[in-house]
Amino acid sequence: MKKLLLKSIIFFVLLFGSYAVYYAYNPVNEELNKANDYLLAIETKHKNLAKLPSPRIIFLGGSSVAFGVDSKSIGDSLGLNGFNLGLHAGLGLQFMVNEALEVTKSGDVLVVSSEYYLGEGQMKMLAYMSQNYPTSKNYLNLNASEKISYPYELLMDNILAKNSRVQNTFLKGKKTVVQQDTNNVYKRSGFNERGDYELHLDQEARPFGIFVKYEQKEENYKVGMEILNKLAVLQEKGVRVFYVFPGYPIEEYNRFQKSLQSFENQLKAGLQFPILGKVTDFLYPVSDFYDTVYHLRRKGRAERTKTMVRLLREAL
Amino acid sequence: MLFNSIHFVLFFILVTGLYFLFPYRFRWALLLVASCYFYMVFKPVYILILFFTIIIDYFAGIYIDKAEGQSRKTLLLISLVANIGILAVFKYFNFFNANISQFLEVFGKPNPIPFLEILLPIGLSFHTFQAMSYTIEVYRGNQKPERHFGIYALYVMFYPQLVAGPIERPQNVIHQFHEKFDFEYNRVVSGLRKMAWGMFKKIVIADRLAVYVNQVYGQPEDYTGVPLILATVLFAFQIYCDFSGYSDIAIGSAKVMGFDLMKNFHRPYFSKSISEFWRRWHISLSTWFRDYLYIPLGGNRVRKPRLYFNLFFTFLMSGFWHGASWNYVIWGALHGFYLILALLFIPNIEPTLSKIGLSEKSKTGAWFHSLWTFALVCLAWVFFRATTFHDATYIISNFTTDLGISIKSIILNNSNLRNHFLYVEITKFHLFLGLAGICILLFVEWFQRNASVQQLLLQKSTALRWCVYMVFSWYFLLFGMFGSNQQFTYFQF
Repeated sequence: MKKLLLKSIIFFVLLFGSYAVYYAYNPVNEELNKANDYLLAIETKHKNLAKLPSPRIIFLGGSSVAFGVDSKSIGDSLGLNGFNLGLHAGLGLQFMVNEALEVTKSGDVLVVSSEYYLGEGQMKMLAYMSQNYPTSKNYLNLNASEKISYPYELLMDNILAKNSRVQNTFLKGKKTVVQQDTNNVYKRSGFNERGDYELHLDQEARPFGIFVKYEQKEENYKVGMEILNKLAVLQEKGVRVFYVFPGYPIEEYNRFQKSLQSFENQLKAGLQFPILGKVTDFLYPVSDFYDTVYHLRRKGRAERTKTMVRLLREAL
Repeated sequence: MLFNSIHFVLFFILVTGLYFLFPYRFRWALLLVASCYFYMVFKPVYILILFFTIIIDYFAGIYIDKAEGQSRKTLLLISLVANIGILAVFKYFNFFNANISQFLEVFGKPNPIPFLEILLPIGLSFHTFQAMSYTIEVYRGNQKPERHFGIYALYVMFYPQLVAGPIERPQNVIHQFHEKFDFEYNRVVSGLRKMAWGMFKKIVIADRLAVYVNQVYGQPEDYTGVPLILATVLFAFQIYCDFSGYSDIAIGSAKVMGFDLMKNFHRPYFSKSISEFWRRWHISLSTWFRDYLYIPLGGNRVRKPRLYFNLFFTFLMSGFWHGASWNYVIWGALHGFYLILALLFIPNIEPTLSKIGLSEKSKTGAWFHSLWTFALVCLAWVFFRATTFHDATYIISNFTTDLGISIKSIILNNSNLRNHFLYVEITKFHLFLGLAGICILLFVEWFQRNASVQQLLLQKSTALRWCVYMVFSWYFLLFGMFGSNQQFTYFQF
C-alpha cells in the first residue's frame, strides 16, 4: 500500500504542479470575470434599487422576469418607480422570497412571477452567489443537512470553477473569459439601470427545446406555494403583493395545456395574495422568444408589458 | 451518489482505505454500511424498498432449499411476485394507468383509478433482477442459500453495481464476500486504470456528446437531414460511453477491493451482426434474459415459429425492462424483429454476399457487416432516445430531408447554412471535442481486438507509462465536462 501511496503522491504532485504552472502562465482575471458575470448583477441591482425612491413597483422572479418585463415602462404608466429584481430561476423561490422580504418597504408594490414550476434553488448556484456576493447568504434557508453539505459544495464549486477557467483559457486563448465571448449574451452589463435585461431583445431567436421539461406533466406545487405565501406577510407591512404568470409560447401551451392549467388552478386555490390575469393572457408566438420558452424578445416583452399595465391598473 | 462526482472520489478513497485496514471479519459490515450510504445519498427512503426485497428473498432462499416438491415452486413464486410486484408498482403502474386513461378518453369516460405520486427508485430494475437471479438459482440448485444475512444483503446492495449493474449471478459473487482479499498492488492498480478509463468515457466523451444530442433531440422538429443523422450517431456513442463507462468504474472499483464482477461490454460497435451485438452489449442483462426467460420459453430447441416468438418476446421484455414507455418497447421489438429477419434471410443472401466479396469472413465484408449492423442499431436508438413516439417518427422520416442541401453547404463551406446544419447553435468545440473523443475510443477499442492496452502499457518503461498517464490526465482535466452533473442514463432504469 505504501508503494501505491508514494506513487500516487508523486503522480498527483506532478500533474497538479504542471497544471498550476500552466495556470500561472495563463492567469485569468477573476475581477474581470466577476465584473462580467450575469449572476453577480444582483449586486448592482441591489445598489440601484436602494437608490430608487418610493413609491416603487418591484418585479421578482427568475430570468423570465429579467428578460420579459419592461419595469420602467410599467412604473411610468402607473406613476411608480419600476424595478426588475428578476435574475435566475436556479436560485430558487426561497432565495427570491427572502430577498424580497429584505428589500421591500412600506408603500411598495411587489409583483412576483415564476416559471411554470416552483423550483428549489440549485445548491451550486447558491454557493457561488454567497461566495461572490456575501449579502446573499442572508437569503439562504438551509436545512440541517444542507448546512452540513454547504461548505463542501462551496469547496467543490471553487475547484470546478478554477478548472473551468483553465479549460476556457486553453480552448479560447490566453486570458479569455467566458463572459467576454461575443456569442455569449448572458452578461452583467446586459441589464439596464432598472434591472431589465436588454442585450437579447433584438437578437435572432435560437432553438430551445431542451428547456421544456417541467411543463410536461402535472405536479403538486404545495411546497412551492408555501414558500411563496411567506410573501403574504408583506401585506401587513404595507406592501401590496401580486402574482402574475410568465410569458409562454402559444405552441408550447397547446402541447402542455393540461399541466399549465393545473398549475394555474393550484395557484388560484393556494396563494394568499391576488393573481393578476390567467395563463392565457401571456401567450405569444414562439418567434417572440429568444433562447428558452421564458425569454421574451422585444416584441413579446412589449406585449406582456402592455398586458401587465392593464391588469395592474385594474388591481391598484 | 454519482460515480462522476468528487463526492464519489472521496467516498471511494475512504471506503477502500478502511476496507484494507479493517479486520477481515468486519469487512462485510463496512461494505454494507458504505453501500447503504451510497444509495441513501439519492433518496434515503427508497432503501426501505431494498430492505423489503432483501428480507423476502433471503428467507425465500433458505426455505426453497429446505422445501421439497410443489412448495419449492410456491416459495419461488412468492419471491418472484414480490420482486416483480415492486417493479410493477413503482415503475409500471402509472404507465399502464395513463394508457387506461387514454383508452377511456376515446369513449369520453374518466379513469377512476388514481395515479400514484411516487418517484422511480434509482436502479430499481437492476437490483430487482439481481435479487431474482438469486432465488431462481437457489431453486435450480445451482446456488446454496446464503445464511449470513449481512452477506446476502451485500450481494444485492454491493455499491459498485447497485444502481446500474452489471447484474450479477449469485454463483459469481456471493462466495467472493466470504473470501479474504489482501492488498495486491498489481490488482489495485489494474482496477484504478479501469476506473480511470470509465471516468474518461463518461466525463470526456459521453457528457460532451450529450450537448449536441440534447440540442437536436430536445427539439427535433427544428432540424432536418444532417443534424438528425449526426445526433443519432453521436447518441449511439454517448449511450455506449455513458453505460460502459459506468460499468468500467463499477468493475474497476470492485477489483481494487479484490472482487471480480462480470464483463458487461465487449466492443459492441464492432459486431458483425445483431446477434453478435447482443453478445457484446449489456452482457449481464442479455444473459439474464437468455437464462431466465428465453431458455425457459424453449430457447432455440423448438419449431421455427415458436423460436421467432421466443426471440421477439424476449426482446420485447428487454425493451420493457428499460422503461415504462412505448418507445422502449418499440426499441426492444425492433431488435427482436432484426433477429427474426436475420434468421429468415441471412442464410439465403449469404452465398450472394460471398460472390461479391462481402462475406463476413473477408476483410471488406467484415467492415460491411459491422457498418450495416451499426446502422440498424442506430435506427433503433432513435426510439430509445426520442422523448415521444412522434419525435422518433419525425426524426426517422426526416433523415434524408434537405440532405443534399446540408451536405452541399458543409462541403462548400457556406457559413450560415454550415453552422445551421453542422453546429446546430452549439459552440463548435463541443462537436469537435466529442468527435475527437469518439476517435480515441475507436482507436483504443480497435487496438484491443488483439491485445489489452493495459498489458501493452505494462511492457513499456515506467517513464513512458507515466508520460501516457500524464497526457491522459491532462486531456481529462482540460476537456472533461465537469460540474455538468449529468446522471448516468441507465440510472433511470
